[in-house]
Amino acid sequence: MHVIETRGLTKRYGDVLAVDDISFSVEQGQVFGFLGPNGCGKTTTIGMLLGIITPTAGEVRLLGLTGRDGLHAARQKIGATLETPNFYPYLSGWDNLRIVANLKGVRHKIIEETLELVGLLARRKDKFQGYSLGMKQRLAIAATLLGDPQLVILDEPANGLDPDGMREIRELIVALGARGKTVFVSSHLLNEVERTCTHVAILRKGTIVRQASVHDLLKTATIVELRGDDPSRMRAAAEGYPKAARVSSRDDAVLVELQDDDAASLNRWLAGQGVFVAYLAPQRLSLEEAFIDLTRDDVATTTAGVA
Amino acid sequence: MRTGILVRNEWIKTRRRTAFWVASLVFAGLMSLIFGGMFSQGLRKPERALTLPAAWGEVMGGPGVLAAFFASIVLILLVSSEFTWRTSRQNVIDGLSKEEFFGAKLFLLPGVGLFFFTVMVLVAGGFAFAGTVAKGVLGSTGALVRPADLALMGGSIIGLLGWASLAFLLAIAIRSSGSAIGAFFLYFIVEQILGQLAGALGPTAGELFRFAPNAVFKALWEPARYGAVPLKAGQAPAIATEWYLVAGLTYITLFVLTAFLLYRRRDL
Repeated sequence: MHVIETRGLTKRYGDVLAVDDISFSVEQGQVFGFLGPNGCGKTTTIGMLLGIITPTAGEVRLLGLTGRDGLHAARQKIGATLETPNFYPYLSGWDNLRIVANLKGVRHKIIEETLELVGLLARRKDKFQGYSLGMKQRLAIAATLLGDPQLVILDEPANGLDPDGMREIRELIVALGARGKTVFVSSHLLNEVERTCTHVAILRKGTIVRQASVHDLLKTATIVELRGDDPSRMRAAAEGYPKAARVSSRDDAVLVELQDDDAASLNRWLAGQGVFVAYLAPQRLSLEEAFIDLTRDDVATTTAGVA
Repeated sequence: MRTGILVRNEWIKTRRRTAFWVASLVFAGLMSLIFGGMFSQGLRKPERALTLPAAWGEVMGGPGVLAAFFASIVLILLVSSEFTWRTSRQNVIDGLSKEEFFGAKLFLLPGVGLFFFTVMVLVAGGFAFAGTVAKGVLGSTGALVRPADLALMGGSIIGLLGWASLAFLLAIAIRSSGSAIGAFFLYFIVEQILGQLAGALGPTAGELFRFAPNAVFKALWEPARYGAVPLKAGQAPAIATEWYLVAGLTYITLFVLTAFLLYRRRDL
């Protein structure tokens, strides 16, 4: 079942095309990473998913429901945060969650359990404005979890957190996924997405450049490092290999990006060409490298956000 | 609309809001100073004593109108902060429809308005009652509140809600408390200047400005209009109170409707 489905989703603010014809889907049980540099349209897209930003064109289906009334009905079965945690600063964590619990029809006993889950039970009576950024993020996650939602949407949940805070959020997302919840998490922190998500969509300048499982995304871009006596001859032979997507050089090594992950086949090809390598090592591409490759024009923006 | 839940949540938000209680205490203190001063003056000069039921006219026609301004400012603070803190958006994400969120804020309009009006009536009425007792005229002039005083209070409440609904519209439209309060007071100045300019253009234009929002809401607080104070010779109201009531209620409806349409069509 598609928990989230968009078709041709577009948002234009005057002359600025913030989101351009986006179509993607999220299946039940996926931990879905929505990855892209800052300002690429992630929050606008989430706003449209939640029905609080009106699309210029296109359609959103949330839990199979669509339209203004449909999205309103769907919102009652999901938990979501958008951008920074948005709470009443003068109210305690407890009172803030009471407001959310009242809206979701959740018993107040559940608030206590949820606060315990995110490690805020001891600070429940403190005012929200006195919380650290990590505590604010955890309170936002607690609010999304009230009411046992079918879908949890988190917008940049690790923003501004220290390594410990990031680890806590990561563990929480992984735990949600393990409980069979569908989690949609937007981020510009590539390591976090790689470590928590099962699937990913990469957004660049308002358009999706790739949607795949994290496994497939990394598998399809295996790079093999070759070393030998004659790098130039080795490179010329590799360039002739039918399954080579790209060949480049780094120092004395030749890097061959394969269309598959069959390094043995490349070795046989090179031997067949009379080139015998002294060193052959497949390197699994990191999400960071895949991301930079896919959003090449935005590298300057992206690297700032790489954790 | 889940009215019970909305009211409960608004109560949680309002009763913990320091600004609300500070404004309430300042207002109650100010009213106590003013009416306490009038009471003590009445002890020294019995002919100027604040006594019931005549005091209602002096209260509504005088300092009582401050209730409307305190209510309007507090309403702006309570409504616009929902946009500053983006809790308006989060409430909708958490399951409210836009209509429900607007409805929750709309409850505050009569709620806050009547709260400040009641504080004013209790403080002023308390000192006026004490003045009546001190002067030894309790019960000698009939009821403590006459039908004319009740009519004055009813008209004043509509006037108060009129100003508060203008404040409500500005809070929704501007979404920043400082700017909305500024715009609220600026409106009075602009209406005053335009009214004077219109008056200079000719009597018809000047007459039209008697139906401008601020002029209408102010007129509804005039005690003479209801017979709560004796009319001075040659000062009969030029426009019947019924017309002002209709105009006042129309403005309230228009302001609330405009605020709703603005909020409904805007992205959160």
